[in-house]
Amino acid sequence: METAGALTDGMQALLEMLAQEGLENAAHGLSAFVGHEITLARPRVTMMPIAEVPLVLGGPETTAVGIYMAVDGDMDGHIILLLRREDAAELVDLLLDQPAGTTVELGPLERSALAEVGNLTGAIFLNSVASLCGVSARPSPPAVMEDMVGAILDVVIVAVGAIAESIVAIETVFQRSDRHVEALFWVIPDLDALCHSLA
Amino acid sequence: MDRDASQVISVGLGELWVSRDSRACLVAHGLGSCVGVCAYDPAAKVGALLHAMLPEHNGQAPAQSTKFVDSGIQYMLQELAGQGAVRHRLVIHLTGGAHMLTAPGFKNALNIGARNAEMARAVLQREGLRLSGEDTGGHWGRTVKLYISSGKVTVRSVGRGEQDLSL
Repeated sequence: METAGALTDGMQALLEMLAQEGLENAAHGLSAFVGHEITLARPRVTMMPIAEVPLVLGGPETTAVGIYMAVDGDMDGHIILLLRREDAAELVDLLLDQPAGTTVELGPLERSALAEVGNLTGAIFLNSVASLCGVSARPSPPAVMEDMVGAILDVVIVAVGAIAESIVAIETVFQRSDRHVEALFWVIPDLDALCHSLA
Repeated sequence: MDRDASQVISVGLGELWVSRDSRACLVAHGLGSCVGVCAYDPAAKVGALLHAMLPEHNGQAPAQSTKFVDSGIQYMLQELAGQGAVRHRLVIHLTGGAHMLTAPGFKNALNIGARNAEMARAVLQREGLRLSGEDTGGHWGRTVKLYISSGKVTVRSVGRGEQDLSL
């Protein structure tokens, strides 16, 4: 899947363009859904060794929530939205228009709300990529996991790690200034398939 | 600081660690579909922890790759022998191998976790080695620890606490 060598300048530029356009649209969509403005940090295209992937958000044993979608079509790959457990609860409060601290447990309603965030963000991102590049990309239904960071990210790691030593990810952070919600949003494309489709 | 060990050694993804340092605790954090294979010789007081990602060697990685369960266990046994462990004394525990994706639409996805655990059992059986304990499967992550001073193996999961697998 992902290449283990360095990214070419052309591919880096392409991914940055996709990230900028796709994630801006995704942030607008999410803002409309939530009813408050959600901003995002400037997305970056990052390449990291597989062994370092579980070290994000405080490390592999940190309790987190992952919203995962497999991507099928010309642009195969993975999308994952990863939040610390407390940020996920805060995001639910924001979505359900509740005071901060209301959500304690993530029951079916809360997980459904989080799934919808993943679904919406991923679908808008992929639609932007499809219209920009003329490639097809369909997300699977979202899977919500509440567990250790390492365990959640194993889902992505085993898919990529069979044939590569590193992953290339488009990464950004969703934030809302007045209420602290930080979510790591990774798009992990199959670069070989993407290059082939764009050739 | 762990009260049973003064040196906590994190065994990362696709890594193997072998130790005969009685102060050491080998830890694989946040195993999902990955497996953690602990092997310990109580007489030589030498132990190893393998944190493997995928069941079968892909034919391209180095022969002793610890990313894969089959080649990783083979290499672990070699390294343990090199550190003075005797094969028939080895106390072996298997952890991890969860199926993390349980949402609708992923039901038929390849269950790498189960395949990892099956491969570990198969390789150990082929080597004539017996599993002393196991905590595998389910839909949750695990952190496994092996204490070199005693051979104690513990497994912690979110919402399930920590259990001593070696009791």
